[in-house]
Amino acid sequence: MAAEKNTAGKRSVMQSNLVITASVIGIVVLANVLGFWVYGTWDLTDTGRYTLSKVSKDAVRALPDLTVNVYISPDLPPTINLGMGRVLDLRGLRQEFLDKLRQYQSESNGNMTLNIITKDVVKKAKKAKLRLFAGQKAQVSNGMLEFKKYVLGATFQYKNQMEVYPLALEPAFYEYEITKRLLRLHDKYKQSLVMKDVLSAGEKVHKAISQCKDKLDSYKSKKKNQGLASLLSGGKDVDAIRLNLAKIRKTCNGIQEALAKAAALRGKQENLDDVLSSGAKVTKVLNSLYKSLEGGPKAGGQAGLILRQLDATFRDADEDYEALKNSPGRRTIGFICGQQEFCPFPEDHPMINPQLAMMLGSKNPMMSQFITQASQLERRINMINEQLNKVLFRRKGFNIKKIGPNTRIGPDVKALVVFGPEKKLDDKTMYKIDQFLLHGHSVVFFTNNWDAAVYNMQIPKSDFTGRKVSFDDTHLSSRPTNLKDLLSAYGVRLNQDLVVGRKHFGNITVYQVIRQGGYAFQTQRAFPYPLLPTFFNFDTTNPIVRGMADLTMPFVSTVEPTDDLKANKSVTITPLVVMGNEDAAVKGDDVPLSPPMLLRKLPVFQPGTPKPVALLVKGQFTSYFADHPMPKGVNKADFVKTGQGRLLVVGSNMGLENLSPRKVLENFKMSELSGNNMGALFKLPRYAMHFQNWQLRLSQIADTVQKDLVFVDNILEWAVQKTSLAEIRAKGMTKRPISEVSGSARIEIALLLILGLPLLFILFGFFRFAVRRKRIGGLK
Amino acid sequence: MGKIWTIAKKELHAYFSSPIAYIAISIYLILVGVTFFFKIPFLFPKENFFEAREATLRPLFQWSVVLMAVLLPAISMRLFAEEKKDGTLELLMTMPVSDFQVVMGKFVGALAFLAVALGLTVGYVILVFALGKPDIGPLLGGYFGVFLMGGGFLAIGLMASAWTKSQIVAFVVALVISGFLLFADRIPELFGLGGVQLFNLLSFNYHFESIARGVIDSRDIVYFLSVMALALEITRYTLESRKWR
Repeated sequence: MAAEKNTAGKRSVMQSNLVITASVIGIVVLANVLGFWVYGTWDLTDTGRYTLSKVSKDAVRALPDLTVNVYISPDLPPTINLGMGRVLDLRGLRQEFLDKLRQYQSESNGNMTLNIITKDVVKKAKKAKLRLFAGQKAQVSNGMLEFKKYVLGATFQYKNQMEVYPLALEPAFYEYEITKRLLRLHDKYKQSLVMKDVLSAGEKVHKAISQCKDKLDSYKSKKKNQGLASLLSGGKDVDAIRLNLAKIRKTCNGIQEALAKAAALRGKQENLDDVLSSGAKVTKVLNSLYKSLEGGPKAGGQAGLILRQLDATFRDADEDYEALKNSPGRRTIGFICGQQEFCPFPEDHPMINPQLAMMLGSKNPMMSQFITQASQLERRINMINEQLNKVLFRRKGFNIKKIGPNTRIGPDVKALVVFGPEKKLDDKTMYKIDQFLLHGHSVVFFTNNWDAAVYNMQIPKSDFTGRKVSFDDTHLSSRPTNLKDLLSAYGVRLNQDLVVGRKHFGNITVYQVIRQGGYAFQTQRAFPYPLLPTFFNFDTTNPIVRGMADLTMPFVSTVEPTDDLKANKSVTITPLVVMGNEDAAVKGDDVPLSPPMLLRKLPVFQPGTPKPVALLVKGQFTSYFADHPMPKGVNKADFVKTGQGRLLVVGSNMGLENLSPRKVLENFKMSELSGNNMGALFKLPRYAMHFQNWQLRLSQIADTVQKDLVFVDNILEWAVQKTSLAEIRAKGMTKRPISEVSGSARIEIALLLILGLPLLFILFGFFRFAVRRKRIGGLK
Repeated sequence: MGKIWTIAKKELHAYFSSPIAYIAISIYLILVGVTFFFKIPFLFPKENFFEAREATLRPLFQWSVVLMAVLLPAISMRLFAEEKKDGTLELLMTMPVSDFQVVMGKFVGALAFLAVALGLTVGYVILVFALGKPDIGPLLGGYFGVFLMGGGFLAIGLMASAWTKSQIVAFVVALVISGFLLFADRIPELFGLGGVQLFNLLSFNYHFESIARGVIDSRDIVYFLSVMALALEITRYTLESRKWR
């Protein structure tokens, strides 16, 4: 009985203990599950890095009914390879990104909806124009081995406007990136109301184009063994298209109708003009398709090619419409033009007035031929500039504006770019730049110290016919600009040197004509070229360069702060890109331009102290005109002697050179066409050579220029950024440098802490033992 | 509470009455110093402190937790195993204290030991303040995070110690559990289980990294306290179980 009672008692103790333990486990699990959804954070950082700033809170509150779609691959890899041996740790990034967005949500006063996309996330993200990134895991997709793609980003939708955060891999800058988009969304929506008619016209044209594209896409070839025509057409069934031509025509005629309705708005907005132009191009290609298909089944191959061309025009139209959609609220960047800068705008007035030229040359058939060819050249130059403007800037969402010598900088312009002037800036232009900077704006200088020709085309001076063209013009001369003078007033020294990469550099493609017998062959060969040095040393806290692994700059000079600027406490100096320890900055006279000769001479160049090649200065500047006479005609009452501004100087023109009718048609005057002056005729081959040399120089370093565009884009984005954002960005900057410690002091400190501290602790133990022993001995 | 404090004081006194505490803390300080000043290419890769030129103690904290994962099970292995082996546990249990108070007393004593070990790294704080302007947030967060994580290791050590008479077995068991929890976030990477969020949520390192940024997040605190509560409750249950065995 007692034993039974004992067993029952034990069982009861066990049961009650089990209940307690189970309760503890239950509470622990519940606390963690609940805590995951209801939580609080306490930011201890001295900059409040993990607390939303007022600008961010205001930005999210200003957007009622904001919808944020978050795209996160559920199987994000723990790390990804960034190349050059760099590995990015993604652990915890998903949580941090979501936490940051939830912070915005909780500050939005219930205005923000957060949707986390989990199903078909990569497909949906691609559609929403997010950037996918590859992991280290390979998989077979569509019969091909490829790295698995992941996504981590978000879209921000407000009313009919959208902003995309394509790749969120830098948690230190989450707040900066999100708030930047929210502010843009706000501006975009406000501005879109003003440009409602323009946007609506663009939308209608785009809709018509999309319908036409969808109609054509619906005739995709279903055959397994596609014929040539089908292959050429990018998988479309040419025969089916021919049979349904009437239906296609009916749908695609909508484009012309939309274009006709929007025609009245042409010239009102550049991005709309682009949409209308791409729409017109689509109709033109469509017409040639109709013509070709009406030619019967034999014309299948040609129709296929046209369909492929049509696909490309559809893509262009898409990009132009995207640019139009994103254009409201974009801040304008002014490009200084007039001193042979890189100025991607067609000339406002043609150099060769066709009517006047025809009148002058009407009596002379040779002169008439000259006029035709020179006008063609001019038109081509203008077309290239228009294309550069569109592809390099407008389509990327930059709103750029030409600021000529007689153009006033309007209030819409938020930043100025002086892109590699080849000649002296006139006083008035300098005054414009100077006062713009001192009024708190951003000014960016891409400098162009050197005219470097590597195997360019040339025609001997003695050859009037222009037939003896050779690819052997190799020269290096300094440009006669006055940028050094202007920049020195702001404390920036632009050195007349050339950086030679001794270890890391890009390639240059050299073109040569080889004559064999009576024939001439053009050959090309790529050489490693140390005058295209590659830099790796960036200020990683700055958004302009923080995401860059390397940057190759063509014919770059160093830029340094002067001693006065260094001593000036009212400015912040940031060397954005700095030479590597192995690079050398040498005098231009010492450098042979021929790639093989330069490579041979490379060991002679000794590396020196690394200097910046791109420098950013923010703060109080003194006007250049404080020490120089003011240009005539300016209102002295408006003159500002000192002011806050942001100045960025890059020691290279990044390979983008001026192309203008004035430069190509060098020294051309309309009066030369009068009478029987035949001198002008002989200039034509040289004009053509100037144009071809521009093309040649660009193609020689095309890969470098293409890669550098990211740097140029980042600079332009920074230039028009709102100052309130800069404060948020500063919070993300985590670098806190320690002062330099000498070699011997380093050893002393390390020894003191590694050995001294434990030794001291052990000595304290001995002391304690001794005291205890003494005390015990005393007691005994 | 008074009884818990009395046991804690007795435990702390026991640590410092033998050379073990001095040797263990000295080894910890030497290793922390080596990992702090020199370049480490693995696990938590870092530059030489003077070359990296950054006023931060983050690498010290990261390596501290790895060292603690070994040091603290070694310290806590004797807490019950030794008493069981020597037969002093029964004597302790005859005293007017509950099992819960014994467990908590031993745990608090071990926490005090941890605080002493951490306190001795103050030299590094002085160093970074002398050479630069460190952000106080990550510094406080780092210490708090190491302390919480250390608490977790000690609770696990205590639990393992309650399970066996052998100190070595207790040490190995505690080391395995602590190691698993510390590096749980690396398991997907090792075994190609990308995207299993549960491993992150289970990982000490994941929660520690969050606090070490300088942000005290209630989720991380709840997690560490949960691990401690769970381990201590299992310890109490294990001790209590002798009553029905």
